[in-house]
This record gives sequence, C-alpha cells and structure tokens, in this order.
Amino acid sequence: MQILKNTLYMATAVAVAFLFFSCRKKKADKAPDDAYVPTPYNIQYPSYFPAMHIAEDNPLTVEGVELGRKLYYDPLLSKGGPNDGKSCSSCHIQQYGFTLPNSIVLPHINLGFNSNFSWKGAVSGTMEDMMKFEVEEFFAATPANFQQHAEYPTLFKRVFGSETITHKELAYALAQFFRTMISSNSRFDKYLRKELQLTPSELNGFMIFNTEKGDCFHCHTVGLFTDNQFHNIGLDSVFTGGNQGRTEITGMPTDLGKFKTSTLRNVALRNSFMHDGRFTTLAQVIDHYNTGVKKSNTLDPIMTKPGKEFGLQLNALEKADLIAFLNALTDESFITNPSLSKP
Amino acid sequence: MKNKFSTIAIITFSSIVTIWSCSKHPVMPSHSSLYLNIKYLIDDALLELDTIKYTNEAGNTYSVSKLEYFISNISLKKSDGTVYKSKKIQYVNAAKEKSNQIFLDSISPGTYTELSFIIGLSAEQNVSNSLPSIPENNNMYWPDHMGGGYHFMKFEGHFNDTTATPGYAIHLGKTAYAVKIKIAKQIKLTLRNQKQTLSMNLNEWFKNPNVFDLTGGNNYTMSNDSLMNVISKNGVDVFTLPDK
Repeated sequence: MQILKNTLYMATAVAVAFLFFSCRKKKADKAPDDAYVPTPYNIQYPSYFPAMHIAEDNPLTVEGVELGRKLYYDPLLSKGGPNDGKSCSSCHIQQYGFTLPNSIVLPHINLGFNSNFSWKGAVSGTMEDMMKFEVEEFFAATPANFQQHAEYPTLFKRVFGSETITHKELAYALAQFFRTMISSNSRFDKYLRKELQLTPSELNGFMIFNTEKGDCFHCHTVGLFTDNQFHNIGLDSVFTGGNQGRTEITGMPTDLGKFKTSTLRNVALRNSFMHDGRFTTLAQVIDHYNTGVKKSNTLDPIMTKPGKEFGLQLNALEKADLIAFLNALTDESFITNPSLSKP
Repeated sequence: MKNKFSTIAIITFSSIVTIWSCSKHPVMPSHSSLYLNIKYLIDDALLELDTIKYTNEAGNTYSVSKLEYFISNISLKKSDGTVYKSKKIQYVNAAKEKSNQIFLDSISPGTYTELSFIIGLSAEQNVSNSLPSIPENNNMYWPDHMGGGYHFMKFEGHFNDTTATPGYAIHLGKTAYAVKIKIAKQIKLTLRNQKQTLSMNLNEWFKNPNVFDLTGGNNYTMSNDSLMNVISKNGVDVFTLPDK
C-alpha cells in the first residue's frame, strides 16, 4: 500500500513538473558570444509628417545607416568601379539639397515618406524597392567588388549578420541611410514649432499658398510639400517624347502629361524646375501658374477653377510674397548636417 | 507488477491533462461582425474610372478620375432602440479596393433596422492634425487658412463642355456640410461574419433635391458655400443597401 502511495506522489510530482516546464515559453536561443547585435537607430521627424514606413526585414540601425552613408558616397557602387564610376553623391550634392544644379535630378529629401519615385513613377513601392532598382539597374553594381573589399564584408556582417554581400544587402543599407535624409528644420518648421515668427511677406505668401488664391496646397501638401501623386499641371497641350510623363510607365492615355509632384522643401536652392528643366527661376515657375497654363484633356481638374482658367492672376506683390514663402522652406541645417555628409 | 501498471496509468493520465491544459481552446464568438463592401454605380452601370461616358441629371457627360472621402460615425439601430456605434473613421478611395471594405466588429447579434453614418467627419473629429498622420489623411487636409480640418470628399473628373473637356473638382469640407446618411434596412446579424454591399450611385450627387449642373462655373466647389451646400443635400441618398 505504501509503495502505491509513494508511486502516486512521485507520478503527481512528475506531472506537475512536466506541466510547469511544458507550459513555459521557450527561451530564445542564446546568441553566440561573437555575434554582433546592431544598435537600434532612433529616427525622429515632426508630427506633421506622415508615419514613415520601415520594412520589417530592414529595421534602422546605427550601423546600417552608417554603412548606407558610406555606400552613398562610394563610386565602387557604379558598374565602372572606383576609377571611372559614380556614386549617388555625384548627382545629389548636399549643399544643393541633394540635387545637381542645372539639372532635372530630383532631390533626395524626405524620400523615406514616399511610395512613388522619379518624375514618372518608374518605381513604386518601398524604399527597398527603389534602392534595388538603383543598385541593380541604374548603377548595375557588382557585389563582388564589395565582397573583395578590405572593409565592407566586416561592415555588412555588423549590419546583416553575414559577410555575404548581394544586391539586396547593398540596397537595404542604402535604404536605411535614405530614411535618415530628413529635412524638417526650415524657417517654416521653426514657425510651426513657434520658435520664430515669419515676416509679413512670408506669412502672406503662406496664405496665398494655403488658400484658393494660389491653390498650391492641394498637390504640395503642407508637411512634406508633395502629395506623392502625379498631375498634369498644364505645361503642354501636345505630348510627345519625354513629355508624355506617367503614360510612359502605365501606358494609360489618362496619364498623359502627368508627372510626380516634387517637394518644395529646399526648392529655392534649385535653378532648374519641372521634369525638363524648362524654368530656371521660381519667378518663371509662378508665371507659369499665373498665366501660362495650357489646356488638355488630362489637365488636373484643380487647375480649371472658374475665373482662373487662364491662371492664378496674382499681382507682382503677391508673386513676391509667394516666393518669400518658398524661400522659407530652405533648411540650412539639412544641407550642412555632418551626419549626412561624406564619411 | 500492479504498482508498475499504476505508475504508467497515472503518468499517462497526467500527460493527457498536461497536453489538454496547454492546448488552445476554441473560443465561441459571442458577438457579430459585419463587412460593408462599397461598390460604385452610375445608375445601373458599375463605375469605370477615367472614361467620359456617364450622363448626369443636368445632361453633362462626365468621367470620374478621383473619388476619395471619409466615412465616420457608423451606427446600427435595432427596432427596440438599441444602438451599436463604431468609432471607426475610414478613409475611402474608389481606386483602392481595400479601402472600400469596412469591417465592424463586436456587434451584439440580432436584427437591425437602420444603418447610419456620415460622409465626412463630426465637429469633434474635424480638427486639423487630429487623424492619424498617414499620407491618405494628410492629403485630405483642409487648410487652416480656410477653417481647418479635413476634406470630407474629393470627387473629380472631366466633362464635355461645348468646346472642350474641362475638369471638375467637387470638394466637400467644413462641418456644416458633412453628409448624414440614414438607410432603413433589415440586417440580421448572427454569430457568423456577415457581408453587406453598400452601393454609391454617383449620379445621385447631381440631383435630388437640386440638379447640379457642372457647366456655368459650378465645376469647382471648394470655398463656395452655396455649391457645397447643394452637394451636401444631394448626397443624403447616394448610398443604398442592395439585397445582393
């Protein structure tokens, strides 16, 4: 009888222990001591920016951003290699707001919040999608060049846990850096943060921008100053060659003459405007909206407002105020930020 | 031998108890859920974006290139007065299918007799920067210089005028012009997920009680209170709940 009791106690103890251990969550496998754990990167941007999409399989890390920055400035990325190749920074120069003077090169500003890229939207999707296009097609980069490099395999291991470098790792590291290229410290941002007051001219320009008077706000959404969409803004009435715009990508006749809304942040640093660089001053751009809009079947409905069929009809003072406001979107700290400069 | 048998029996029993205790129990639902799938019609025809082929009450031939709006303050009412209220504010874009599916959950089962909601936002909701900061919401903002808040609707396209095809932009905003929808319909909700089509007939925006003619300078409504008022009143019956 005693033996039976003991057996019962023992069986109960085994069952309880089994129950305890079987219901416990398993601990994650411990990382080997030599594994490098990247440091999470704390990205910050204003509340009036949309939430940034960050790919689940490419979280921002200090090491990843730093590697992306190194790649951004490295001609090794180009098919021609370091001797005759070009890097991203060849055409996207920080002091000009990461674009190139006298060119139609779109600036690298706040692209981490975008999902359509390039004037005609050649790439849509995530920043990783865009960077894969850049690495594989635009630069036609050779991963072996990085694999054989003295430093890169170690740097990639610190970010991705492996020394193997493919187009994917190149694109992902670049995507991390691009997400940190945030411009949000212009005079206008400081005004929104109540750190300064804009001049009467800038304030009047903002009023023109943000009302039906100028009607800029519908496409240049305050915050990013782009709606990330495509519009025909009446530059032409006949569309041939590269002027066909978004149609060249989608094949849709309804996209004729449509181009991506470019951001107006740091726009005053530029001297080439529109997809073909037809304007060289902000005054010329405003004159287009004021008197130069051309009719076509795909002209954006916003631009056919009764009474303004032939333009905004702003007077000289109003045009000057609008330009003053656009100048207030220049972010000096962005174009001098050492964490975005060549490492 | 007897003891050995007992031990095996007890361990087996304990193991069964253990496995049973760690397994997930199927949870029986106690509430209903309803999927509202929004479809777009021009009278009897399904909407095809970007084609100038539809005719409204005023005789304008028009196309639709953009239709974006908010649906909020959704409620379902039973005949005994019981009301289900959803806090959901849904951005809807006719061109993006997913945005046209509204999921309502935690509804008490039973027979409801009325669905109501707002096209737009209530006064409390229509405050600048109050909605989650996502591109869709941000692009709907209504400038602070013009009263603030959000566009309730952007309904755009082109139409045939006498000599050209100008655009039209029917933009609705400002709390007074939120469109209050109320549809009487028996909706029986059981413990299963239920789907219900919600149809918008775009031609209803152009009639009843007022014929809205896109010609004559009516093709742009933003900041024009009288035009927004007409659209808001016409919009009351744009939605129906078809049987299928």
